[in-house]
Amino acid sequence: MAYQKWTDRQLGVEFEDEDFYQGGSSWYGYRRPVIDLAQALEPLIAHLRGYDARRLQLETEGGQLRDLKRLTEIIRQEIPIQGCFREFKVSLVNQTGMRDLLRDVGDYEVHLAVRQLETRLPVYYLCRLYRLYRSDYDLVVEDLYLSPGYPLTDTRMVKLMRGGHEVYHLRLSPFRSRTAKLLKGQKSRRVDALLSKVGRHIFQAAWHEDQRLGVMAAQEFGLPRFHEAIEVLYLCLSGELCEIRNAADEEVCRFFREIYPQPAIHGFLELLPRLEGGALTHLTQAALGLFARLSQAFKGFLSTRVAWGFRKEPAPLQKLVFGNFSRLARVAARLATDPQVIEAKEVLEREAEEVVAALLGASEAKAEAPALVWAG
Amino acid sequence: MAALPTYTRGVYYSACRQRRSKTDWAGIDLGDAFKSNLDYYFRMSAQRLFYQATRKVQVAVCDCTGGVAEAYDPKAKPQLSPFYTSYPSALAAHAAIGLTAYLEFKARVPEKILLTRLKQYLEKPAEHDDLRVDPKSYAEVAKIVAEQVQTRVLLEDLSRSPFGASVEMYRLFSASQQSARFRTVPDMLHAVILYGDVLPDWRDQELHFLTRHILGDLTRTCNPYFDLLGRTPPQLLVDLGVDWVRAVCLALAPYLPEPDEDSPETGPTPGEPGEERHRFARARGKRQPTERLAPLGGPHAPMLFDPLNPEQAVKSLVGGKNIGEPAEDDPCQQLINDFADAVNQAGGQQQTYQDLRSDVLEHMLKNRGFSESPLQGNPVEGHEVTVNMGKGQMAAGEIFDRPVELSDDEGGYAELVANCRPLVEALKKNLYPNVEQIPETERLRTSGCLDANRLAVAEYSQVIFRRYRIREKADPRGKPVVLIACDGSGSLNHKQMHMLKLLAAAWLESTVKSEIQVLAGLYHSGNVRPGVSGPLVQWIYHPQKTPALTRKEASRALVALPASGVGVQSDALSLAFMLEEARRLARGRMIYLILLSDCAWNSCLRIGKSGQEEVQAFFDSVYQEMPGKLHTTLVALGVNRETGFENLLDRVLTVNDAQLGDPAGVAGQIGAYVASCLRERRRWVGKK
Repeated sequence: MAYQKWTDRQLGVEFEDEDFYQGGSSWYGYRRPVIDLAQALEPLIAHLRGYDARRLQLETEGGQLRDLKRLTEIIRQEIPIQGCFREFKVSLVNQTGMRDLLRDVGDYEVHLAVRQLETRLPVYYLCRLYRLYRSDYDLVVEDLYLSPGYPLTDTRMVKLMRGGHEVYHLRLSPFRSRTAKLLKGQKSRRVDALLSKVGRHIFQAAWHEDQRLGVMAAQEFGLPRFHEAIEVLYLCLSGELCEIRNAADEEVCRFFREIYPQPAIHGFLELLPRLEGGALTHLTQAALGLFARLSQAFKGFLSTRVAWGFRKEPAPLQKLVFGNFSRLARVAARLATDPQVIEAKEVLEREAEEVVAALLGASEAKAEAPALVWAG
Repeated sequence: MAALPTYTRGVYYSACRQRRSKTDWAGIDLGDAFKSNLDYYFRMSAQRLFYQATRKVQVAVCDCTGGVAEAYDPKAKPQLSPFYTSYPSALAAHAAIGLTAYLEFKARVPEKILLTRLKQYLEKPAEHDDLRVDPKSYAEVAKIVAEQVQTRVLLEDLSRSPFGASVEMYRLFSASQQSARFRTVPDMLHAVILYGDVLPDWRDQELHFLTRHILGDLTRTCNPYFDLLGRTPPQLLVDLGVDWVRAVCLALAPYLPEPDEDSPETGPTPGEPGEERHRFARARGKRQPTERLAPLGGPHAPMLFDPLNPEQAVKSLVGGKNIGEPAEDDPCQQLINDFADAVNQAGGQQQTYQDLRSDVLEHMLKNRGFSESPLQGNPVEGHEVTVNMGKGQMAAGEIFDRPVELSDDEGGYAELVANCRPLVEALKKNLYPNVEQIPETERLRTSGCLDANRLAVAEYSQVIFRRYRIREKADPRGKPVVLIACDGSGSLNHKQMHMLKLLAAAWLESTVKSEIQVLAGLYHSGNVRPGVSGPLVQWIYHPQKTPALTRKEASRALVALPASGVGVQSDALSLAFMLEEARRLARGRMIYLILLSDCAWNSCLRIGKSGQEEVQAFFDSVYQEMPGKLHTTLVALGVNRETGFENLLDRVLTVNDAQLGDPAGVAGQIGAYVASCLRERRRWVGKK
């Protein structure tokens, strides 16, 4: 069997110091047999596809008892898969065996998440991860298979079981196909490299699980400026600005222009190279104040009283949002025409726009000022 | 290019660079308490905040129920489930506090006033209401209605208290967990009565026509009561509840089975959506699954009562029998059972050492409402442990660990401290020296502009040329880690357990002012979460896992331990796990293991060896793995014979039955033991 010693030149990947931890596949010295992941996992993915087709049919059209029998057989059927070191035979009921298989084939980078639907039928999410050992979140860089109906309440973040605990992962996989187009069909590892770069430097700071309430409210109630403001403020406060400044090359800027269009983050990345060190510090301090301002504005939005329920009794919006977090889309749809909500949305959007302008504008002003200070 | 390296306040394995994160600029709050991706130190700080806030609310509940806040003893454990769902963590923290407050209140005021007032009515509700319905079904429905209304009225009352906001937060959290599928009548009652003012209008949902009818009637009946709830003074809430229960029961009566003995099925009687009314039939006898299955994801005819468990829920979806014994001879039923079994294995939680999955937990929470949640007290973490049994033989097992809660029993704590004083005095002598002080004569070496070589010319005092200096010679093995492993299994009687607590407290107290790292844990078995029990290590003191900030405070955890042993211990597995934790902290330094046990060893690794052989094999392999870096003292409690470990371990200290009640006598024995240890260690340090 052929063995390969990975080097950054072969892969076209820029390694960073944090890739070199105690163990793991990114390390130069680590050798393992070469294996085509897509080919190795093809039987499993085909099996999952077959299972989901039957499941969906049963869920939407119903069926007969023999369909149940067939579905049971699919669930219990053992799938032969050639791993790195041996052949595995696993079925969907053998979760431990499945984990061992994926560790072998995917070198701890491939993960299969299982979720139970309300009908108690399982759904699956097979994905490839990129670990960032010194950051809060790991990245999902490729969706290998996603069952229809898999519950993803927030498309940006997904909870996966790692080491016995469920932890959030940043989901960059939806950007994969567009990133490949941006890189004009370069190798898969090159796409990984760009995704890991924006994940490591930008999304690691800009996305956080504590934003989920605000971001989901922004998505469902249609508050794009508010969404932008949250992400850019987090990026400014949690990011290593010197590091981001160095990482924000043309490719990264294009990513935020074309693949994940975020004018605020794009403006922020364009701004950073023009700032002196003192201005960077000022930027973070200003962002802290602006974060408090934005939080107050969101609090004001949530305290809006809206007509709700059978008899349209007034109720504070926060009660409805907190009590219907899992079905926020339905609440937002119900309140779409409520004049109080429309007015509150306008106020919040205006405030968010001002916050972004203040962050970028304040730093622009400061960018010029230090020249005088240093000159003095 | 990466930023300049920075070193975190505490990473688990070694000092390494950690990126800037939200905790750097926003600090730590309650919501961070159980975020597994955060560092231990951040999480522990957040957990301390959470447990403090919970305790504060529990004291407020105690105060409000007429208890004495100073002599407060918590009746409910802190509820943790909301943290492990997909609900935003900052809100989940307050929801968890709210549920704890509610349960504390329920524990202190167990009377259900509304149910007491309705006692007569609930015995024969059909007779009271003069209705022609199946009396058994009506009585069961009335009981469910009364329970739900009781909860809702109590929630309204509590929402006016100082801790009302967090209770309301839990109600909103619980509302968010509700499903819109409404599979049973209790589901509908639960949703409409408890969360009717919060949930979105159900009329735009795809529902079974019977569900739609029932929901319509329930909502119309409950709406006026929601308005009245906020305006009713506390003393009249029970009267309101009585009216509410009877109104809801009357609204449901037309759907309940008639008192007709010939009714054949358990589900609703067949009917078309256009028909006016439909009734549930009486629950009895077998139900044959039909060959044709309705869409599983589509609207289903509701059931009158809840299925027994998730497997039954799956069976009910595909038309299986819901209640009663499985019919072994029926091929259709067997097929459905097989399907439910496969679905449960493929989608359920299989690895018990893992945290409860959020989707599984959310399904569990849907119908639990305001009862104890599956995760409570202190977080339990699961681990896979591999034990080297020597000669290439490896054994593996799963084990759980959690911290022991600190006791508020001041009297018990004072007694423990007083009783262990003689032992502490005996142990307090420099027991684990890692620094030797050596007086040395050496020439003065000046610094700066004074030239040491020319000082002699200046006829200075001899003291300049010859002075004594104490040089500290450190043990190259570094500061030691002391691991106190206590066997807490059911084989320990209250005398042995008392001595175990005294000795553990003595070891903890004797190291208070030293820089020695200490780990102390009790190992036995226990419930990890509902339905899962296993080998358990409860940490009395662990610098990264327990809420105790100091070792002195950790002695409070000992007070919280039971008076006699509980459960069955897994000796080799637990010792392997605890030693692994100590090795992680020691990072290559010396480990002193103090094992307090009654020497009733248990087999746990299923490798065909007895418990004693397993432990001996484990120590054999560990001594080989860590030559010169492990020193083990076995304190055999209540043992009057040889332990069998005399030739294997470094020290064996036997406290026989007669000595168990005599701490002063044991202190004398400990004194001799300490002296021998000191001699031994002086030799070690000297050699190095």
